[in-house]
Amino acid sequence: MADKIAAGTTRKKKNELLSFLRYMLRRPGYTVGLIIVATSIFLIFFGTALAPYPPEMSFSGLERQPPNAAHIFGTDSVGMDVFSRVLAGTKIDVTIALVGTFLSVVIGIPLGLVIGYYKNFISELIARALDLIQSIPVFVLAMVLVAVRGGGIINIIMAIAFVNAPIYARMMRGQTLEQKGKSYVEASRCAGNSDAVIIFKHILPNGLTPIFAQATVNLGMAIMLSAGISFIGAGVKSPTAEWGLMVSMGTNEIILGQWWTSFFPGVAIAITVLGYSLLGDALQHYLDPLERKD
Amino acid sequence: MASDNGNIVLEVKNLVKEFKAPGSKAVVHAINDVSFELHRGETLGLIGESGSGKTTVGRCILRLIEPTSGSIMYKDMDLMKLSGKELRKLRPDMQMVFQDPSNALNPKMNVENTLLDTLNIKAKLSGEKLDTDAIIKKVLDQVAMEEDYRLRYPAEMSGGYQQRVCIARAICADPTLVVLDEPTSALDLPVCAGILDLLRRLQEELGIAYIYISHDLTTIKYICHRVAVMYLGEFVEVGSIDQVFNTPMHPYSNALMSSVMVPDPTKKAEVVTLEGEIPSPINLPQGCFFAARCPKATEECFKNHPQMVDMGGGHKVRCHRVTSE
Repeated sequence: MADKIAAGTTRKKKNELLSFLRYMLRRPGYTVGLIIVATSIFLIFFGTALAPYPPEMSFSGLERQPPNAAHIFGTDSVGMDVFSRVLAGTKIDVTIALVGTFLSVVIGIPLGLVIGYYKNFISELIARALDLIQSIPVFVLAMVLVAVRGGGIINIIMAIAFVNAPIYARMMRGQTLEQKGKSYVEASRCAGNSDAVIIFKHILPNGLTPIFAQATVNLGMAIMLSAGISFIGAGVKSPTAEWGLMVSMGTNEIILGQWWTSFFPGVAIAITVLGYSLLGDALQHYLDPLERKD
Repeated sequence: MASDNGNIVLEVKNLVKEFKAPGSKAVVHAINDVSFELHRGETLGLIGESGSGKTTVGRCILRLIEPTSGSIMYKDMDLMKLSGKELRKLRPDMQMVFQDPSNALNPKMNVENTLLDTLNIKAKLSGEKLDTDAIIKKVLDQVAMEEDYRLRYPAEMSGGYQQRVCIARAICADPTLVVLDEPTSALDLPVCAGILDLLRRLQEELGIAYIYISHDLTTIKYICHRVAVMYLGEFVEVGSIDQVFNTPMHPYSNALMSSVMVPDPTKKAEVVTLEGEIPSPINLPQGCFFAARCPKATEECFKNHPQMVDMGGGHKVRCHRVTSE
């Protein structure tokens, strides 16, 4: 009877995105993360427009100005406005990280599904090759790739996609192996369903959750990577407004006491990475079935 | 259950399944020469201890795992010889209910979608149009579930209801045969009784043949018509419930039956205790597989492997000592 009453109450299909946002807004730490991420997305589109000066324009005679009313973050060694460049830099760094991570997930998931579902010599070989790629430090590998293919934004995106794809492929493979052993997969096969239906209707939806969480956590790392590549000089070239490059350009002047050229883009990197890491952390906790979500 | 051949749903002959032991060249003999037939609307129980190959037999019949050799005749077709496509077309006819219902339902699918997963493919493979909505309604009614469970997810149901959904999924394909792999072992006793009654009722209504795999003798006795006792991948005794439970012939069945508790304090229990463990399926004994643990074993038992012999009335046994008497 009690069962019947409970079943009778129609459950509304909850909007997962809204309830996740509510989950984050109820926790101050995650709220900070949410604000940072929202701001960064906003700046991707409007950063350049909001900048007080064109980010790639140098003002001759105004080089190495400390922060003042006209240039609140100061100017760099060629007279470009640091504040404008920090705002405009969001577009490059965050976009590279987002697109690179998205691509790595898009490559990794199908690869992981296939090598997890079909177990044979070739799939094992691919799995071991992925392990091999993962054993190389991500930064070194990305650096080599960019050095070989040349620095441009597209190549940095490709490098980030390539070094991260094995992570998702491996995770998806593990998830596939786990789900494949469950009886509901066998039941679906018993009904006559094809491998494609089993993989996409049963295994994929049940194995996707941890991958989303991991990808969000990795976004922060991808921002570090994209800034890092340009920092060492392998990525985008001056005068492009990019945080890693700006930090690198300013390092020569720090010794002269001109800290602002490196400091502000460095802070921008740190805050953005923090924001995406908080988002990933929140997602991971939110998706943890053992945790309370209200 | 008359033994007229027109009613035979499934005829398994000399089924053998060997696995390669991982990391070595050793061969695990999971099933050694299993033969039996199953009639329409009949329940055949498979009993045996862990590792005796009961579940492997169930999965081989449905070709969820590939048997090494033997033949599985279903309605004049040898399942072993069917191609992938032909087999898929036949799949809805033979369904399975699994041991752990929480594992057997996709957590991301509600009841309706779980049933549709089976119904849609059945409609697609057979080319006929199915009124899926009406079928779902009917099937839920058959397994005694209220209509409003349709949109529930597995996590929102109790184990008993989850198992009902699994049964609903099996019968919505309108099968001739359902393999029940310990369907009650994960459930509480009262829930278990409900499920067994449900299975019996469905069999009466729909005439489905069951293969009921379990190590629980009481449920076997309750639901099965015939029973096969398995030991180390082969049948050692087959017969009706009455034959095997009341007059067991094989020393192993004898020991099993004596372990069933009788709720009668005046009855003295004569428990036959077996020494040792089931032998390794990698190095099969030369003679009778049971000889090392058998209280009646003679020299012959260690030398020659016994054959299945019909002792009359469909009661078959694989034992030198019984057949020589």
